[in-house]
Amino acid sequence: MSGDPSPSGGATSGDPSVDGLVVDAEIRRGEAEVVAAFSVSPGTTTALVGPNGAGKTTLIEAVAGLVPLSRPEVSGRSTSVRIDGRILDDPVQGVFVPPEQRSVGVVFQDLRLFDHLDVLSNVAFGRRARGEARSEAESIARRWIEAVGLGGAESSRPAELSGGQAQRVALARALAADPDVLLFDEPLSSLDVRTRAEMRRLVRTHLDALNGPRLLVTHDPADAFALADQVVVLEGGRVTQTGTPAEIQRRPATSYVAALGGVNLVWGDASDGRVIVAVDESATGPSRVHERPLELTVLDHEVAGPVRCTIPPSAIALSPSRPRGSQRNVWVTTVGSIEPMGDRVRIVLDGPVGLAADVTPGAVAALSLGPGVEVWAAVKATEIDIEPV
Amino acid sequence: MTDAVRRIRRQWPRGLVVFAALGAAIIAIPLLALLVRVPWSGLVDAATSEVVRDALLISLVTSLAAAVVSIVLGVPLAWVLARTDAPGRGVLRALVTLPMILPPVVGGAALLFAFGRRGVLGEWLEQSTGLVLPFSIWGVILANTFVALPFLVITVEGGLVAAGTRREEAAATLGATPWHVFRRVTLPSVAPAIRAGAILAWARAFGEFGATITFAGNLPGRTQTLPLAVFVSLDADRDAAIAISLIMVVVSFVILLTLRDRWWSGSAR
Repeated sequence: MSGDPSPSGGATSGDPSVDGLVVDAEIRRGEAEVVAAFSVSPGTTTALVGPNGAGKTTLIEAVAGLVPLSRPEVSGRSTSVRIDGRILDDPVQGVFVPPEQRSVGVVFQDLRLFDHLDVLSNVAFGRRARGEARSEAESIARRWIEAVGLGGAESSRPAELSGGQAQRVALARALAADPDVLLFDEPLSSLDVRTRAEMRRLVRTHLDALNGPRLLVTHDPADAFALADQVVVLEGGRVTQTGTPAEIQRRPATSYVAALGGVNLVWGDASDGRVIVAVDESATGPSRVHERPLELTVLDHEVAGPVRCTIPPSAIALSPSRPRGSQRNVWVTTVGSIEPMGDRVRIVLDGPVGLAADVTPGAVAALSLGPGVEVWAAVKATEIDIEPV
Repeated sequence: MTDAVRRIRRQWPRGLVVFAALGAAIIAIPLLALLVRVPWSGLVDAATSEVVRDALLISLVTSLAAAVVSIVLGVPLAWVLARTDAPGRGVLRALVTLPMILPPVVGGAALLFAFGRRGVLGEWLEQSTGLVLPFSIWGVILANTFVALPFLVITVEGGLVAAGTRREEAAATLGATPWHVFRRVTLPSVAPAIRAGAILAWARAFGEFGATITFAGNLPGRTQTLPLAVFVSLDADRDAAIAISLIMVVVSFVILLTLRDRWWSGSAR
């Protein structure tokens, strides 16, 4: 990452003018490899999103000091984790600051509360560990317990708490230690829908109140877009896209990101207003109806060669038989899966080109949609956005 | 409301019950045979004789001391085995558990070569501090610790591995030094394993015979523990031997029964 270009002198500790969290990491553990670079400015939240196994948690652990960076594979390259210019880990320079000296607060996905301590002692733990007097540490802990809405639960044991309450304790415990950086691993994934919305508001409030950089790991786009100023997409151990939530949604770089933002993304070959859509090798489902590749008519006649098409799921119409009318892009396919999404229902269509279509619950009933049901899909040429790649 | 809970007893697999009964019998039958031979009339006299009183006291003191020493030395050993990547850990683990397999007599002889008056360390120890371990109560404690320590180490190591390092990592991110993590997170999380290991160590020390008699001798009132007293009495005074055996059975059984739920199975809760 380049960061701030101001020429503040080539100090040995890298570029001290770069504030916030700066990560340029290579981590190899067994088969898995994570190579990622990103930075998080003070007072902002970055969401690290990606499918399971992409290496998100490994990166969090590297920032926290629980996993060391590996030596860079290419000699001459240097990797590091820095906070406000201070080097926390640099395998080439031989620097490694242990976790207890990093002031990096972590809310772990599995919470890791201290079962043998009550809520108050859990939240006061960080301050007590740094030698603060019990009365002082506990009065601050009490304020945090109040702030996360758990007043009255001070003497409860973690085992007596609900999932949402335990999560609040974990949040309060990390914040009460007054960290320079906050790392938050899958904050809401274990909660039920109702608790989730509540918790998201709470997390947002406390994240906003923190002056340092905040890094949030999630596989839920709703969390990422609701809570983050910047989104870093990690796939297969590599950063595939970095940008604001709006940029990510508007210009998704991979099909994973597109699905994240609720946009269909397909690649193909364009010529004279037509696009032959490339077959997605990883797609599953019956391909009987896709013996011929999908051919889409688009408005743009100028573009030729490899292109990327974005199709909003709401633009794909489904019908039980071949639709009459002027639509040119019509094909028969089968329903793969059905997921309710708020007031719409997302229908994932099977086939070599997996596409998502959003319809109303009424349409699901009227068409008797269910996995394996054959439907006709149609999309207007005007709804397909193409861009050369 | 709890009265309304229905208790449904499922059919027990018959094969399991048969073998379980056989297992219990193997231990119960010899103990019952002992009870049959107890000279109930002269029991009180035998049990309150000076020799037996001294032996009981020495046994209790030395076995408890060995359990305490095992905790103090064994918990750090278990921690090194479970939490570090120190080189030679495999060798260390084999070494520490060796006394479980070794005949106690061999252990006693080895202790003699090390701490005897002509031993590698014993001579130096006597000259510099005047402390003579063999044939003293300190020697009994050392011999007991030698055989008891492995039981604590393997129990606590198992507890540490089961507890995992996730909470210790969380504590470190909160700013806790490794020592603070050990005291405030690691120790409480393996407390049940330490208790179980201490009971095992105490039990092993309480019944110890071979290493003690080899290293500390069999001096009534000084190093003669209950097992030694039984051994001596078997030839001279069979009734006394049976009485002492009964005392050992009762003491051990009562202690195990009292600790049963709170301590023994604390980890299973």
